[in-house]
Amino acid sequence: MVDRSRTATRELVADFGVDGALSWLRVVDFGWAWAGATCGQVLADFGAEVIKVESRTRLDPMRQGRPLVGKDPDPEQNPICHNVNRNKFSFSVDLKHPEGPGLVRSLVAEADVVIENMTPGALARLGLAYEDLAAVNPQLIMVSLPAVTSEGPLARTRAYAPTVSGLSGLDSLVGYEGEEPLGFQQALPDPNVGLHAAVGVLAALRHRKLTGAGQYIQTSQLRAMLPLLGEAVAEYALTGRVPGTKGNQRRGYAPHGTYPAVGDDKWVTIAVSGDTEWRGLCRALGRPELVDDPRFADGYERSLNHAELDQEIAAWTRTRDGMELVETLQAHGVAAAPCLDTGERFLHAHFQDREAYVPVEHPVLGNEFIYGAPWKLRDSQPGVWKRVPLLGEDTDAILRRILGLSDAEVARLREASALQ
Amino acid sequence: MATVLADALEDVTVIELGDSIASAYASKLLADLGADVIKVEKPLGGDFSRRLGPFPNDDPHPEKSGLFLYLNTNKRSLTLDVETESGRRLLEQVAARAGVVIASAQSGTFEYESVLADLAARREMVIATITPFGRTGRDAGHRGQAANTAALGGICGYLGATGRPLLVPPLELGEYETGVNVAIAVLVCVLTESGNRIDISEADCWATVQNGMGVIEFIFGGRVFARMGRGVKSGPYPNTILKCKDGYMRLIAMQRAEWERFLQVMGNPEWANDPRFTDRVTMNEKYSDELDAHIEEWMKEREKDDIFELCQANAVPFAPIYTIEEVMQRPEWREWFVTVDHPEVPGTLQAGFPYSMTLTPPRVRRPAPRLGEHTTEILRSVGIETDAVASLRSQLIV
Repeated sequence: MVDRSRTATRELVADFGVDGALSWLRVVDFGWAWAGATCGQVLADFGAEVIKVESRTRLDPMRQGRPLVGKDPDPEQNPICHNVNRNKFSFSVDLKHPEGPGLVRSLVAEADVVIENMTPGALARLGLAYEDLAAVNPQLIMVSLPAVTSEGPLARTRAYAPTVSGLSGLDSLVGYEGEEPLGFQQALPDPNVGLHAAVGVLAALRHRKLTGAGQYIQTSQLRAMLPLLGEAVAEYALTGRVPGTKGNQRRGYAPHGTYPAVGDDKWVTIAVSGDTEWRGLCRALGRPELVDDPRFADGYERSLNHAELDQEIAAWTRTRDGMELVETLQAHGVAAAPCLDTGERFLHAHFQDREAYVPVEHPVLGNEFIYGAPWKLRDSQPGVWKRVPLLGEDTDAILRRILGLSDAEVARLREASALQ
Repeated sequence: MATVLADALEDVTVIELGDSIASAYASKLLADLGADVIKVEKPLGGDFSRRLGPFPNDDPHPEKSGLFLYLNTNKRSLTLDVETESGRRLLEQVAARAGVVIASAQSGTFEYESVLADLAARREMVIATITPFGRTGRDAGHRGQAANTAALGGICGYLGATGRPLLVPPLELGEYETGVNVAIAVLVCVLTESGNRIDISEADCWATVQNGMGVIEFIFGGRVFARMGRGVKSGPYPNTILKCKDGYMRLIAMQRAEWERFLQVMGNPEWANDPRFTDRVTMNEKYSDELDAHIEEWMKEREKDDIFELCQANAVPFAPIYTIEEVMQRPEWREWFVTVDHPEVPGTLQAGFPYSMTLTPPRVRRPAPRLGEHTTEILRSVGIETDAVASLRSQLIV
């Protein structure tokens, strides 16, 4: 059987004059918060028609939070939402309304992919489990990406990305050498699972293209963290040692770490992986004699005596400007970069050249900058082609143009409060 | 009648070039899904990770490095010196049969750029390059390692304690995040059957999809997050790590109800009635040290798994900070690890696959290759006779 998926650009995407690599793809996206939304964002950046299913009766946590403008709660102001739901269309429907699940099933019948990260079992209770949806669309590819797991006694575990970071073992590795764990203070499990889920979906689409068969993909924030910890897993498996906090020490590098520069809390990173770079660093420091210092003779000795070495380097960096330090080190072939904060990143010339942040016009916030696509392609460049939709902004268009409902039917559903 | 494929990426061939975790992880994701990944290694010494370990009993051996074995399961190894002219010609011959090349370098300039350009000119291929800062832009020529890209991408600023050096992420995490982004872009091209050039920068990955959402808040409020040790002292209390009897717990409560249920779990202690402890944002900004001490007083009598169970039974989302050993020993997650039988290191537990798939699950098809294990079979498949391979081998070209 040949894959019947259309190759023509989906209609809502075509309205924007977009013809991306995935513009033939239609995605029904129950993904919410940050993790679930990232998977659909990847596909949408490549031009897919991604329909975010959401409701006023149970707001996406990323529609909530402190407003940036004014004082009242406003579902149109959350910064993370503006980033992870750009390029999408919003379909508002109350899944608790008797007609809600039926509308969604009809939409899935017309789609290629379903993404969801609801509490495990929530979709099944609405008759929207993979089995229910595959019955109306046998070629469907669906992915579930809850916090911990979809099955078994731990499926009910309440967790957020930071607690998943704790459960995964990652947090136990962040901290000063031999001291207590400080944890990874950034919600890595959220975007990480969304990206991995996208890999699974794309592979399943390739399989479907050759065989015509759909399938179900399961992952979780926790599960998708473990492949990142492969080196630590190997250390325990092969040596029996339990990896712990190592400060800035890394296997294969010395010196390696952050060093103070002039200014309030300014730091540069230096990572030396071999003797050529080490000699370059000694020249940059103006300390050619260090090359012959037995304490720093090779990578092993430098690693062993890293505390003294770090002091020597810090004594040099402390009185110098960060940007100058980096230029000097790079000129001597040493891998170095400044530690930037959010504002510095936004204004940094290199990231401006790379279009890391792109402007979009939003009806509530006005001119704003959201992150661009990390994938630079010669042809079919993905990117930001549409701002985040307002909650329910595309409901009518979806009902009329995809499901073929008449104006009267749409009006009746609205009247019956099914589209909240 | 539907065609049956055992693996989603059956008949996709990938050439992997360059010494980095990012290229190795990108092609590992594809190899685990069935792609034939040919890893090109230097004839002398091979891939960098063969020297890194960890090794069984800390005894270095190029065929026993845990990092190498993990990142290269399911791949084939071709030794080739791409710095020689004949090595480059052989690479072109082998790559001419592949659809995808994934190459990495420590700066924006590639030593084998001419090879990639020749390949791209000859036929439609997907050629992905991975560099610390990208192929274009002001700092494209800079050298960088995972620590440097994390710094520029803004992650280091969150890690560490006030007044002490910033920390870089452990385990070269940015390389893995870059690898998954490479796999995404390559798969889009494979799916749409189009040749393409892909430029992925490790710093871009941190600055955008991992960590790019703060820019809006910066523009509107000028708010810049700074490291605060084990917790975040802005937003509602708690958002921190606290000590218990046998380790540490991660505490975060997005909803007020979650905090209130935790107070119940602790038996509604007297101190919680203090009128200063009403608004959770104020509690976090002004009184978190005092509150931390109260909670640790309760937690020090209890073990992390008991607290975890008690919290979950009451819909409180706190969780233990597990060590790697504890993660590997939880029976419920055992299926997220795989046992790989490598001839040199039999029966070793490795981190498993990030997802399961009902029809084409990622799986272990073969252990990581020994250095040059597949050189002869790969060169013969492009028409080079066994004698010629032997001669190339004596010249250390393969």
